[in-house]
Amino acid sequence: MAHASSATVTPRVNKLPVSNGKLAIWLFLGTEVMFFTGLIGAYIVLRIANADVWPSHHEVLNEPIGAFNTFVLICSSVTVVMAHVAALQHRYSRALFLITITFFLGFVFLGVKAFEYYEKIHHGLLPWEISAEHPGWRLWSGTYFMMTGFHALHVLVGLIAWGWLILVGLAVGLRSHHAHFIENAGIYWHFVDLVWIFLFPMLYLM
Amino acid sequence: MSNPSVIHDVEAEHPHEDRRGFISKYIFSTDHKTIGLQFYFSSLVWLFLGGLLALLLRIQLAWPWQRIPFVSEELFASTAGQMPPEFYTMLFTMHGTVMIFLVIIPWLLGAFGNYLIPLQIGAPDMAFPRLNMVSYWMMVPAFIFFTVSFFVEGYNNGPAAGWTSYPTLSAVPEAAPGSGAAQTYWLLGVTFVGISSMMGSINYMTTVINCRAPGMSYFRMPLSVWGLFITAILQAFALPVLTAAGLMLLADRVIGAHFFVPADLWINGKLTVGVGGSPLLWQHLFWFYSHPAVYIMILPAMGIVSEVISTHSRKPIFGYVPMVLAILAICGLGFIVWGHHMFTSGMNPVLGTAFVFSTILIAVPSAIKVFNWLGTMMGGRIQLNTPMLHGIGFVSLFIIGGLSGILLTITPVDVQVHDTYFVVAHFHYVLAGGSLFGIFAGVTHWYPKMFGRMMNEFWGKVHFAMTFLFMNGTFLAMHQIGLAGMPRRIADPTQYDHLLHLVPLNQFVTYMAFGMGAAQIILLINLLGSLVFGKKASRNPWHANSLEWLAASPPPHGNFDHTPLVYRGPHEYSSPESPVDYLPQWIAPEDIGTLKDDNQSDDTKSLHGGHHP
Repeated sequence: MAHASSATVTPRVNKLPVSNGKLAIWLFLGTEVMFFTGLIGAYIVLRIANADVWPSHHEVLNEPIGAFNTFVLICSSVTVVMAHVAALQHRYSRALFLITITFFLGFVFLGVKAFEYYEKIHHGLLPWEISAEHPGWRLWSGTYFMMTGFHALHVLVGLIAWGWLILVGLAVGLRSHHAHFIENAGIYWHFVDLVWIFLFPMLYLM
Repeated sequence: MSNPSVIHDVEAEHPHEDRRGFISKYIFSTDHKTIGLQFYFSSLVWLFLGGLLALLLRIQLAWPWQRIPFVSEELFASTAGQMPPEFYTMLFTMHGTVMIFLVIIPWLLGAFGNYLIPLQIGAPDMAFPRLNMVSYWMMVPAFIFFTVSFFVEGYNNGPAAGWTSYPTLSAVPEAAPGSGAAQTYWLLGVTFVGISSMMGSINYMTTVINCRAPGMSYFRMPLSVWGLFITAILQAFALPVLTAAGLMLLADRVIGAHFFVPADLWINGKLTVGVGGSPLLWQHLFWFYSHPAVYIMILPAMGIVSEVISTHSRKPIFGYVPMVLAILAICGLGFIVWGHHMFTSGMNPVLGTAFVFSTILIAVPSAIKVFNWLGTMMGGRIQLNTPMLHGIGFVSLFIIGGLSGILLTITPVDVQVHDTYFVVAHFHYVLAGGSLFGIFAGVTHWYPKMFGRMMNEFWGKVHFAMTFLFMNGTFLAMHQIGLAGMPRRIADPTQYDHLLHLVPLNQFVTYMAFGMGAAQIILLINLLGSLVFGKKASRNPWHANSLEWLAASPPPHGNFDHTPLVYRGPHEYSSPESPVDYLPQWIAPEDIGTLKDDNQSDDTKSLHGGHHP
């Protein structure tokens, strides 16, 4: 390094024009992408290797229900954006209303998912219940429950965030700084939706 | 704030008066320094446990099936004092697991990452102090799960699938004595380490990107921060894949998912019906993380050593920007070389060739770093104190480990020596020679800052000399043992006639390993003894440039008296602009003339001996 002083008279502040929280959420979602890549990658590898014995989606899944759930989740992504806009415009009761709808839609998604799980259990499609005569079915079941299970856990975490915000909103009312919370939680929520956008065609349509 | 280089007497004014109670100050602390020290001391404890496991391994290899004083009476009474083979497999599994997941990674990233990043970029704390606290406390379940895995099914049935935990050993409970509940606890332990590291690395990245002091541009950051920053990136985006794989393996074990259990598997003469899962899939997912993990264990050490060598050679680091780019290159290439662990596992040769090529490419940035360290020392006024000795030790041992690495990536050579002691020698040169000496360099270099006292130089040098000597004694001979054909992970090499002549060499290695273990006791005594008997350290005992030396020793809660302003890079040693042989980052250009040449004075006498107007 040259010894010539590169000093600026007033040292410049170096940071990104985003808050720490927003930056951390984006970085966190990067790690989440890699997490689901591991699960989805395993699904792709196992399915291709066992293509001849893999069950068709007609046999194991109810496509209309899955499509309905996809629609529900996409709607919730819309309402969360509207809630963020409302909070930025200081229309806090409208924001709270839209958050409540988001929460409700997420809750519906989980309810439908629970019904689907109930059906799988009812039909004996849990991994340890499938006999060795259906080898592909057993692998399908393992991958299905891993991917949708961890996705559902992520939805649940989102619901906890929205539920907390609703409680705060009802107790003391939303404030301007909650717009940041809605934005950061909304970024996460969009990611959870996006994972489903990958899972739905891979599991229900292909 | 008009003149940030003026430092007030912290002890007199208490600008950040600390009103926290004992529990919030030392146990559930959100202060990055306390959390760093929590990682530091738990790693130190696990270092000795992991070392003891290694010594037991070495005893068995040198004198197979002989009685071991003290140990045999306690543990092996039911087998007439002989170590059972499954105990041996548990030993090497847990030695690797402890050293990697509980010593080197938490020490480099958890301890130095936490302690150094905010101090060296001029921040009062991490971006998310509470998240930081949780990241340490996520290690505690990991400690518990790993400890439980030793005992849960009796001490002869600890996890035994190696630290790599390849299925089917790790996936099928009947596969080996340690594949039962112990393996499940092992996986839970790894999962919690993963959660802890993920929280830590997101925090580090956010802190480096968004919390730097005014004037601290990316290319004014010390190389230790660069090393930790890039490592955090590597860890954040590689580790989740292992977490996913570990959860799938857990699903295999707990709900019978069979991700990694192949069809028609014979275990102990019994046909275990799998369903066409893929054991190779685990290896790909595992090494997708665990090869980057090798760089996670070396890049922070490289950064630390760069700072140590520059400071104690009293010279600017040679080629700062190439050093940064080399770290970035190693990080990028680190994501696309994992297959070189799997040349003998079954792989399309074309794919193998691609992995050979990408792996050999890593030699380029590594060599740049080595040349730059040598270039930094060349013509420097080298202070041969303990940190510098460890730094030089790092460079020399890393060269040996790096060169055997290039050899190992050449597929025909690798197929020949795969799973022999040559591989063991290679990665111990990188991990014990590289990472551990990097840690020691950091421990001794920042000891005055962390604890406010100087470490004993004499015993520091004795520790270095013994460790260096015995380390080479231990691992250099392993190259020869491996080339002679001795496989790793077997409890008794003497069962093969062609390995009988290696017994004396194995005994030599064991003696050396005991010497290396004994040397660490000196480190421990010096570390703890200097806390009480060490001379009081000034703020800047090494006359170093980076921002942590502006803070008090040890820094108070909140670190700095004022937010520091940064005027230059961190390596302006022997600058003609300065009347002394260093030029700290925080000295404003108009204040340079006030730096006094107090190299001759005993700065340890003055508690606040900063060099400020």
